[in-house]
Parts: sequence; structure tokens; C-alpha cells
Amino acid sequence: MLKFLGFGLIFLAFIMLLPANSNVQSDSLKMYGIATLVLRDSTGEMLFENVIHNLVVDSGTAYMLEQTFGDGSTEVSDADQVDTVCVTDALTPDGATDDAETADDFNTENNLTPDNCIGNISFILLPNSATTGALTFEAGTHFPDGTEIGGIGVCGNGAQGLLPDGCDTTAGQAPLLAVVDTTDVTVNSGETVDITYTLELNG
Amino acid sequence: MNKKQEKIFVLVAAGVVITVFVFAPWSDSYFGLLLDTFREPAWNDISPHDVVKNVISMTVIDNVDNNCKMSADNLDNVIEHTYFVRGKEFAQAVNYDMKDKTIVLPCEMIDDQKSRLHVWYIKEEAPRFGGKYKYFVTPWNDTSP
Repeated sequence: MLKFLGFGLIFLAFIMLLPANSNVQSDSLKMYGIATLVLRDSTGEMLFENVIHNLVVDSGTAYMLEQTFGDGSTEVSDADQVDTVCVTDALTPDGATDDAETADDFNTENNLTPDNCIGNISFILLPNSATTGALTFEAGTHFPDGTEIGGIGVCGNGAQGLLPDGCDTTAGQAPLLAVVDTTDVTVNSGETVDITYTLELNG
Repeated sequence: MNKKQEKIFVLVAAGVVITVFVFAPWSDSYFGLLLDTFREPAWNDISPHDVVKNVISMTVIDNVDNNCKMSADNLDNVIEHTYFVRGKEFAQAVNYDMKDKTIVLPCEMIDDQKSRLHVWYIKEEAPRFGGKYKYFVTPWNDTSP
């Protein structure tokens, strides 16, 4: 009989190690809103309060993406939208962990100016995402040969054309949207690095 | 296996279980999910998207043997929401009288004549702790959390 107890314990250890692929958070959910309903009596006192999430429907998601990213359509001038990706030689760009990072901060810690960006990007908009497609950065064009790339910034500055000088810091223009601390790669003479940025809004 | 071998096998197996329990991150395993049934979620760690929070006002009507009968006029709104799959179980837990719109709670939960009853529950489709709920009472003049 003891051996059955032993097998049971081995089975217990097994299910303690078998991942259930669940998490405390809803991983699939990238965006949501919260609605608060408060019922009050005639004197204004709270009788009932309900706080509950909402679903952002596809047309709302599409609207946000269209307003944000340059995509060749005219709802907002592309030059004013997010349409630029810049590489940086900061090996640990602050914006990857600092919510308060600005385009100016990103430019300041980056020594690769003036041609380190690709502007005038026409984002490809899908129902719940926007993507740049592959952007090819080339040693000798976007940065000196042998540069070690530490990350990217996604921002606006396409008004400067295909090779903007950093992210746009002009008030009212698209701000710094995101910074990604990528794997550090050294790009030597004749080499290129393809970068694709995708933003998902999944409500 | 003879008796001695069986004993050694059980001891080794028990050692493996203890080692895994102490050192392995088992909370995201099937064992962890099973244990979720019995343990309280860390409410602050759960995505706000998965939690529905309700508050109603309630007033003490009567005190019998340290059980406080409270008015709970708007508890129907909480219990009958489609997301609250264990609403009826909660109603029983607080002795909800649907006709008189009253509940009965231990008086030690109640500080004032008028209080706020908070009812939080996790949506059933949440990846962890789906269907779990909790309720607590705060003073009327305390507007947090």
C-alpha cells in the first residue's frame, strides 16, 4: 500500500510543476475602460455605486489607431501623427522603464543624430493593431559603421522627411509614444538591421 | 518492492513534494489553480478589468443577540447582475430578505448606524479566481476604497 502513497506524492509533485498557462492578470487584454455608476437620493447621498469594466468595441479601437498613427488617410494630417522610428545608441534607454520620458529626453541620451530615424512611415492599420512593417536601418546611412544599437523610440517627426533628426519636440505634434530597450546589436559596415514596431490595442 | 523499498520510495517522494513546495514557483501550476479554490485572492494584484466593485448604503434597523438587521435597499442591483454568478450564495451569506430588503450581519462588523457595504467579485471568465467574492463594511463617512 505504501507504494501507492509514493506514486500519489510523485503525481502531486508533477501537477505542482505543470504550468496551467494562466496568470492573475488578463494577458489578452491590452486596453479597457472603467465605468462608474452612482445612484443618489434626492439629497445627493449615495444609495448604490457600481464600478465595472467596459469593452472597447472594434470601431473605437480603429478610431484611436487612426487618430494616432500616420497611415496615409486624412482624418489627421500624417505629419502631425506618430510616423517615425528612431534608433538609439543608449544601451539602456530610460524611456523603456520611465513613464515620464519625453521626446526631448530620448533625443538627449541618443548620440546618433542627425539621421538616426526613419520618418514618413505609413503605418499598416489592422482592426486591433498598427504596425510599421519592416524598417531597414543601414550602417553608414542612419548611424556610423560599427554602432551598437540599444533600443528604439517611436514618435513623430515625419514632417522632416525620410531622415528626421530625432523625435519631434514641437508642442502640439505627436509626442514620444514608446521606447523599446532592444537586444544590443552592433551593426558593421554594409550591414543592416530591420525593425518592426507594432502597437496592439485589444479591448 | 519489499516493505523497506516502499518506505524509501515514499520518503523520497515526500522529499520531492516538499522541495517543490518550498522552492518551485507552483502558484501558476495546476496545483496552484486547485488551491485557488480554497484561498483568498490578492485583490490588489488582480486586473481591475476582472473585478466588479459595488457599494450600497445600509442602516441599522435592529440588534438581536449581536446580529444587526440592516436596511439594504439596493442590494438587488448587486445580486442580480449577470456577472455575479455567485450572487445568490452571497445573498444567503448576508441573510438577505428580498421582500423587506434587509440583511443581517454580525454587529461587530458595524461601527455606525449608517454604513457602506462593499461587495467585490471577480468575473467568472477571469483567468484566476473567477467567481470569488468578498464583502466588507466601512463607515458611512469613509469614502475609500
